[in-house]
Amino acid sequence: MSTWNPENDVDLLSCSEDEEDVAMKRDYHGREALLFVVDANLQTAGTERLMDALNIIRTAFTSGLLVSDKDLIGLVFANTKHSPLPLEATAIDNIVVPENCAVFLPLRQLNKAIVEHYLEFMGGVELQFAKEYGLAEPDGCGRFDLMIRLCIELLEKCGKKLNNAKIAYITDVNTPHPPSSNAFQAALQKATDLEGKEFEFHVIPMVDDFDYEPFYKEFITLSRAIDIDAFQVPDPHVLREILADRKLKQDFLRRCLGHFSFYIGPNLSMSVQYYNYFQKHNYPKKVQILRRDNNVVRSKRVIMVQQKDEESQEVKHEYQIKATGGWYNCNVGGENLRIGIDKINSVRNLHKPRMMLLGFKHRSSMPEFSYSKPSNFMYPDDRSIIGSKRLFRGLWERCLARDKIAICLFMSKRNSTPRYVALIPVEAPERGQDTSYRSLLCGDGFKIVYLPEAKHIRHIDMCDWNSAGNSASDEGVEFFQKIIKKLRFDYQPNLINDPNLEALQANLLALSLDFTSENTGIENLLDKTQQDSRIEKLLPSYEEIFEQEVEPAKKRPAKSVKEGATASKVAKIDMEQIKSYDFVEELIKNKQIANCTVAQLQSILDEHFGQKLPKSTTKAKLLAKIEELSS
Amino acid sequence: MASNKECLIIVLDIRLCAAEDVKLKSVKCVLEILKDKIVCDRKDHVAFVLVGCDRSKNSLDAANIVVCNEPQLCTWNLFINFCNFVNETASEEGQWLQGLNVALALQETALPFKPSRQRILLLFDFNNIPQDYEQFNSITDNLLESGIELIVGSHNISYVDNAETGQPQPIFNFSRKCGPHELENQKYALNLVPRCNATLCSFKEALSSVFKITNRRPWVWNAKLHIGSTISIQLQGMIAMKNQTPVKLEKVWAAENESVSRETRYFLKGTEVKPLPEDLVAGYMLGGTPVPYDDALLETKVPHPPGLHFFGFIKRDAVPDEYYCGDSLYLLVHQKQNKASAKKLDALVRALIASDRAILCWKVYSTKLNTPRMVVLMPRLADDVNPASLFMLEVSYSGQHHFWDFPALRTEKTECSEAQLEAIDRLIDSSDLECSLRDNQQPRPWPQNDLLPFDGFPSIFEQNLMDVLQYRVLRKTDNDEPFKKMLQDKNFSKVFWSVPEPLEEKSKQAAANVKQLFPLHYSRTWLEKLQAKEQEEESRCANQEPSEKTMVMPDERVGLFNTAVDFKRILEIVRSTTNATEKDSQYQRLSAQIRVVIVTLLNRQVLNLEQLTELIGLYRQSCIEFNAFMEYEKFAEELKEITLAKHLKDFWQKVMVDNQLGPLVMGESNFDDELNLKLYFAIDNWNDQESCQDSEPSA
Repeated sequence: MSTWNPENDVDLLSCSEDEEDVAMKRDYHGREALLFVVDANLQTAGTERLMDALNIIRTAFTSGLLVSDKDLIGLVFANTKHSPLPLEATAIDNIVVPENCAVFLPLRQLNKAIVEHYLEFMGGVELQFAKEYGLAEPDGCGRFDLMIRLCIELLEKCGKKLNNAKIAYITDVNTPHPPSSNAFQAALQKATDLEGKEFEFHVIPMVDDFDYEPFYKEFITLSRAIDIDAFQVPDPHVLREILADRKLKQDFLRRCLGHFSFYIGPNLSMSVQYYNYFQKHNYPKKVQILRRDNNVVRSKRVIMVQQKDEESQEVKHEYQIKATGGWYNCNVGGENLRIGIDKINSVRNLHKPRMMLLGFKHRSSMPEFSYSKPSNFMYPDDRSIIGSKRLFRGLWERCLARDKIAICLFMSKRNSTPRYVALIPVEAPERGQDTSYRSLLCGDGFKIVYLPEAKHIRHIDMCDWNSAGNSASDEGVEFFQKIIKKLRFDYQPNLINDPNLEALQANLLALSLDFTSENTGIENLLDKTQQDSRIEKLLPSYEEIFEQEVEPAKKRPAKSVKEGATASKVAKIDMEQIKSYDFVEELIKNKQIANCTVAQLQSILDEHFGQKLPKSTTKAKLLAKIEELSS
Repeated sequence: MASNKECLIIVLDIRLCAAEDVKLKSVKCVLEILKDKIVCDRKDHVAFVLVGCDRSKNSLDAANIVVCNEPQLCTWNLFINFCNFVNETASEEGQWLQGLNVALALQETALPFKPSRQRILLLFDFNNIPQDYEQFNSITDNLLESGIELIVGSHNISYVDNAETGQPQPIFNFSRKCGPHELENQKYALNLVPRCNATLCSFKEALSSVFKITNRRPWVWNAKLHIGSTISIQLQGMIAMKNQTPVKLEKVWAAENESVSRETRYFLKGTEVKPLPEDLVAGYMLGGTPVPYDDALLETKVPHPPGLHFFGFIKRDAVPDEYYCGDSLYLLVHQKQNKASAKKLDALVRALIASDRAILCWKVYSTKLNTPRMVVLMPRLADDVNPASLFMLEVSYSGQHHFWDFPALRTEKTECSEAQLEAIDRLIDSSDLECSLRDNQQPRPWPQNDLLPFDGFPSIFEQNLMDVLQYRVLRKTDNDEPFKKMLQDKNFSKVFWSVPEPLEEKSKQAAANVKQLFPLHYSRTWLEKLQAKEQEEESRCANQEPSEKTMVMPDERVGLFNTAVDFKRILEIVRSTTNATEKDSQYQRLSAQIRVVIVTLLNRQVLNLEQLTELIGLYRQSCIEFNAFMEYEKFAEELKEITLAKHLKDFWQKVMVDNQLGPLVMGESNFDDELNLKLYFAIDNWNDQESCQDSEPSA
């Protein structure tokens, strides 16, 4: 880069506009695929380890069955002695299965039959596996490169368009071949194939003291095209746990939410990508099934517009419009002005996707309680602007050292809206320092915190709540401190799952596969017996210290009419009266029509003007309509 | 729900002597207020009072004052009318106090609308024209008594920090040219602050003061917090922040003479079907299998009791803020006027703060919206303005979490030099939004010691939308050309994409310095790669049938007659395949075929040694090319086994040994390899029964 001169690069920068126009228009269509490869070496330490691995796969099979029903899943055994054909032998007709590999399940969308087949296989694994599959001879080392080739072939020939394909290799052997062997080199070469094809490779060690050196560290960094010194050694235990949820650490290059330029000055930008910490709550979609043959019927809501002939009530013209159709109405001087959806959308296109630095603040200036929407994570990307990583690191390191946050304006993608954000530098925990689930949360980079706009903040005047008598006695505080001690709880982010989803999943699995899960069910969710028993001894003082809560007096006492209560609100105008048009005309003339209730106005419109407005129409609009029709 | 409508009377200065700048800015200010109220569909009433007109039109008969309209709802009509109002013939004279008085009277007339808030906005140039202050005290007293809020906006306002409270305080910019009347006018304007709690501010601030609405009766969610089955605290939840656009536009689907209906249609594999309702059953997809599942039949359980159900006391920072979800932040306080719950909440909050804990609990919103959601409650101690309270945030479930594999940033490649880090430090210092202002007591044009205060970010989308709507409404034309031109102009969107003015120059220089030190250049490699991949995919989709050459493969096999020719031809096809994996597997298939053919030929009664020599030679050569050393080694062993079993002595000598078709050796052969080869070719123990099988070659 010695030839680089800032004066000369004007041309390069002037094309930055084009650069944005083509910004990472990636095709995200296609299915996810997950191919499990189980190393037959797992059986050498007793079938327990193999069973553990198969159990992880079992949970992965069932865990996402409901919400990600379109995913493809496959299972291959590696380093086996025999290569028995899968149940569906024709599926691998055009695939060459190398020696020491056995395809159990070619990539398939899971269904009931497959899961049942797998469960049946699992039942007999302890006795049958050694005989049916065996272990590659003599040393349990089949060719790793051939296994990878098989995986690639299975993924490429699955017959579906893939978007996110992953290979999860479950093993307990540190390296597939001795480091000096030819097979070792051949295996490493396959990593570049994976990189080119954008297939992710993950190794899931079944032992906790797994050494990624010398093979897997290099293989993984090669397959992801990252520097070898940037490799972060993962915790095998956590990897196994998240795999059971059908999750793997995602590749940072391919699975980002978007790619944009971060301008830190005029004509000075770096390329970055951003990510989310969690995905939208994915609830299974309900389908309609035909009773007679269990066929799925797709339902679609359509909006139809009809134009009728006023006299004959015949449909003159009928057409269907999209949910995105229609327009916005603007009433200007009694005239309705149509504002097309495209006009509104053009407002969204006014800004370009990018981030711009506005300035820095001290970290402590961030308000303690502030929330607008879930945060994102930002990481540099050296692909479109080479050198971004270094600049990013410099900025990140200095912000970290000086406790600074950057305030920026951020337009994440086309058709979104620009938002003010704070970039907070975050750092991955040191190796071995934190092995909890929290450690999975962050890497090195900036956390993007969305700042609420002035109009999102509600200013509430608390004067009606404030009172001198609000403050509690020290006794009360002590009481709650004791309660807190008794009911302390060590929270980990992986502890809480959606109870509704779990219950639904358990029910469905029970219905279709005769599965009984340990799920205690949603019924016991709010069970308080355990809490009660823990704080039992403290409870007697609760009533002594705190008075009983008295509901403040309601505004209108709910007395019955018998007790002499005032009658409930009645309409000022009799329903019978409005049936006569003369009476209604009189009301309109005397401007008393507003005394009618909404229901009465609706019936007036219906009876006297032959108009039916939607139930949700406001009173003001009903009045306006009547006035318009009567004049 | 409590209605939050207000009545706002805006008093404008249109005197001939007023500075043009003030007049222009005040009109702009009013237009912004009107636009906002129209687009957000607020039910506020607004009226205008002009001070400094040639005529008088008001209920108090005050001179030079015109009331443009009675308080009314904001519409685009009012917006257009206002543009005409302000062009009223002006005069030199006009008393702002009288304007306030007229505004006060107007507020009276608006009382039947039952506004929850009454405000007067006075936009005035306090210049060197004498004003009558005889009624100052009575009018300000009236304002104070009636509880009407007064906001005064003017042009030459600056801010300094109050020496005692540290709060920003408005002052008039000092100028030597100030005449005695101007000073007096300014004195009275400043006096409005202590006299009737008025807000004196610059135009920009006036606008944000108008938009900043403090609500005394917010919407509340009544809920009980249950800890165990005995302890319960009656709470009220209110929204503190919500990511929600206030824009309300009326969406229309059809013209007036048309009717709109919504219906559901059913499709079975793309064709529309019309099933009877009883033919259908609800269900879920279990992978690829549809499973009928009728919620109504299965879930006849009682709904969960609404409220907050305690789960555990967790460390305050146990839930990472990255996992907060939802679109709002709730504030929970005790139930209004419920002393007992206030005390309990105060005790709980103090205990939580003392032990640095937060509460994790299930939130059940109501019996109808009955799905339990996990929320975390963070304590905030009581202070002068707020009672003890809990902030409530929703937490995402572990099933939703993503795990990423981010390589470490600190690598050798990204190491920065001292000079580079210094340049970044300079950038940070020169674009500091707070520090540069903190220490000097020079008056500044904005109130806070912060160029971008956290509570003052504009809503860019709403602002742009209002500008576009304004354009459409004022033009009332369907002609798209000028509209497009306006969009292209984009000045109103660009305005947001700039560094705060006071920092602009300095930060620009610092950024230029950073640019000098950090070499950056654009690369299109990724794009080319992407396009290549796209093209490949497109071509794959376009001709579903594989291209001619690959089509040959499945049908064409190596036959028994022209075996060598077949093999060479197919091998050529395999070589031309670009996809490495595809190529590899095609070769595997071909080699399997040729092996079968060779074995078949070996099983014939009469062996064609020439053909066998050619075939084995060809196959051996291809194994070198395709790196299939192992395969050939195995095959060579197989050949030897067959030879031994069938006593093919001739074949062995003439084909294998003479042509040296033994196992392949990788790289340079060494002594070991040669020994192995020798071992391979040597067959000493030809079985004694030579007579039976070995046949004469026919060639």
